[in-house]
Amino acid sequence: MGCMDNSNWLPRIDQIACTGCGECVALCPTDALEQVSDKAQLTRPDACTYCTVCEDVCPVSAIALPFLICFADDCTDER
Amino acid sequence: MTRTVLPDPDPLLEHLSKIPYLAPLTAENQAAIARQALYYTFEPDELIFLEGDLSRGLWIIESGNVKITKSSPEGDEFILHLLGPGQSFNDVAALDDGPTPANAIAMSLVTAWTVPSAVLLDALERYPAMARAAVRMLAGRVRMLNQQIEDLTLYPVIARLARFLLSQAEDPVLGGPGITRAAIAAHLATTPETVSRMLAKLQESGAVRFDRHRILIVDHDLLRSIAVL
Repeated sequence: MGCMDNSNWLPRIDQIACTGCGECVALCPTDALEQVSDKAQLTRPDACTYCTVCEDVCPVSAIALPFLICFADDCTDER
Repeated sequence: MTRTVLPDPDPLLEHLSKIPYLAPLTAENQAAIARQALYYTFEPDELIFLEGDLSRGLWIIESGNVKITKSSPEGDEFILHLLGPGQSFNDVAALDDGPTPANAIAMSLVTAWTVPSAVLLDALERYPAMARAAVRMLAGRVRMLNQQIEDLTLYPVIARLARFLLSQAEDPVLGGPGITRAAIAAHLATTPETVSRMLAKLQESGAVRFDRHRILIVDHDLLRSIAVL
């Protein structure tokens, strides 16, 4: 695998599955999400703390946060 | 799915020499197989094949990650295997020329080759060392499936999760696009909520630590003991 850029480690929002209910936008503690054209979008990725609240509250599982599992003494995002 | 002309046979040769039952072949014979391979690209979440489909042969991943799944009648997904670059799948159908035994889905942008069953079966007829290696590979698969049954029936979720974390960390090809808690749940036959609770327990125990998108194994021995290993 090549180097993963940082955009890989952000919430992925399935724009087709998203119903635009707004729950994730309302509960995001850092206001990283915003409702755009009736869909949730990550408009402030730098603010995202990866708390997973958005994924947990989404009623249609449209949001997914990928995790990298590794040993603490040998962990790099380049795998 | 996009099929293209092989960009260069060399990368496939590198992978073929690492596949246990193709490794006994000479480089020349591996090259003969590579010349008959087809090359495909898949978008993230694209279906590579469905259970019961006509098998195209042996699949070998060049880049990206693939999940092999089974689906319940209600549509629930169970992830049998997570695979990365250099690994093969659909081996069994390629060898017995039967239908595909499970679903294969791209988890990221995937490039992969297929080696037609007829090519593989012809090589098995010709080369006894390859046939012996294929038997060993199939025996290994049976052992692995036994292990999965043991995990699912005999160990609590937290032990299964600990085993899963260790196996992921030990296999660098699986880093790729990362894995979601929903996918972990689909592999451990539990719910994402339970995975979240168990990850929190593992963090409380001191075995793992969250660092934003990283789940760091900080106490290997403790995690192994939770995994009953």
